[in-house]
Amino acid sequence: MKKKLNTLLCLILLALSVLIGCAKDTPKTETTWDLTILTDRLLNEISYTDSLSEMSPDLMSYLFPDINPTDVAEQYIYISTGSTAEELAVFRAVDDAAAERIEEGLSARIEMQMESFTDYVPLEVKRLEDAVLKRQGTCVILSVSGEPDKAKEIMK
Amino acid sequence: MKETAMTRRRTLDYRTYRRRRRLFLCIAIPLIILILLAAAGLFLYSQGKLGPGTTDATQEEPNTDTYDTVIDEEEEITVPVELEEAETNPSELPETVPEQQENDPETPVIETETDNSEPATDPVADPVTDQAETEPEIVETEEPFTFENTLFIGDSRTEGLLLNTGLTEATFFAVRGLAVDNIHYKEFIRSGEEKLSVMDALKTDSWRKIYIMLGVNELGWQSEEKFIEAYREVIQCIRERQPEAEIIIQSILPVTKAKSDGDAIYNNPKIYRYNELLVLMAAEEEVTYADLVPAVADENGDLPAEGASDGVHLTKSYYQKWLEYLIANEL
Repeated sequence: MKKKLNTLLCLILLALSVLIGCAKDTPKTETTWDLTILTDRLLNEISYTDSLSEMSPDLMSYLFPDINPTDVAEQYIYISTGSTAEELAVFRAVDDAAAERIEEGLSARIEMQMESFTDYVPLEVKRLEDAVLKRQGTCVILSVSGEPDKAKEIMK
Repeated sequence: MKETAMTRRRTLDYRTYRRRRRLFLCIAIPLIILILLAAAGLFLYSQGKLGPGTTDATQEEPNTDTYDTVIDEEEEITVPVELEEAETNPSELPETVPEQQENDPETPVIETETDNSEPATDPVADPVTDQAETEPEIVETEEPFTFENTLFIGDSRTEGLLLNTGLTEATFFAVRGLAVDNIHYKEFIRSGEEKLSVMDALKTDSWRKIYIMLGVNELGWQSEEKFIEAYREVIQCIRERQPEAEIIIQSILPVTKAKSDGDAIYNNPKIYRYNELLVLMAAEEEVTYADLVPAVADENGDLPAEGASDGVHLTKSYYQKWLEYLIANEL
């Protein structure tokens, strides 16, 4: 009898641990960066020449044609009115491989912007050369501003 | 005798076993079910399918700044006849348009539709009177204004229109520095792996309406005649590629007073001179000219200081005004 009870208890414990294990599977991809806080800091602690506006996720393919939207789990994109190259793009990818692809897409975006600003406002090319592009786990951030060192400091 | 005693004892053991087993089944099985149900509940709760997790859908409400919201609200507005007439006389627009825009999206016509459905369920209301009150508005409502199957061609300010209004319903061939000369060869439009110029991209699809805004990057040109002839050539090339499309030339938007006063190239007298030439050229080419100055300018014809951070590129709210003006005037 005692043996049966023990077996039963073991089975219950096993079922419970499996269920709890599954439930905790979702936040496995979390990284050390809190993207909302980081975005907020990068927006407010850096001085921008132009005003930055939040972009709708619907504009992803237009702004970042080299990034596959299915790679993106979370995003915060802020772009200037068009007079400067200033921008902030914060992404959380679905996994590490996707984060790598997003990083490549953001590099392509910098190249694209450099091309368009070279003949238009050459002074903005400097900001693009100093752009801070950083990846940590599944998070990727691009900051184009006049204060790249401050951006790096915030991302630490 | 000994055998009988043993048999009795066995029977007794068996009865005890049966009793314990019954007791076990009565207590243990409901207990197991209870524990499993609790575990399943915990699992679902942690996955967000129960309790507070269900609010996820409401958290993902659409961005109220996007164009979609605007068009949904504006779709119901019936544009009065005066506005259509004003298209040929832009000076009348400032009076009529704000009135139109003042129509709070939450009010009139949407309410009318609701009212219209009420008589069927409300026995007290007079269906004939109610219908008579609301019918004219509904009958006169034409197909809702939409930007579907339209194309915007322009420079950084047109690009700003897309980015700041979220007008993804339309196609945009817009890039920083686009002008009436480089529009023929500047390759920036993605088509698979390659990049196309506007003129090549125009061959890839068809549009019912094409909006163009060019000219601000050409303000420094030596000859205004060259500018207008180059613009005319652009119109002709577009027409060749899109013979069915309605072509709309949008006026060049003014710059701020500070910018205008301090810049030998980007100034409003020059912009207005270019716009005058565009009006004539549009008439000659039989295309629509849309005067957008009333949409963004103050009473002196300047872009207000808050309308552009650098004096030229509009701020988000001014891009919104531009879009609202197009919608209100059904341009």
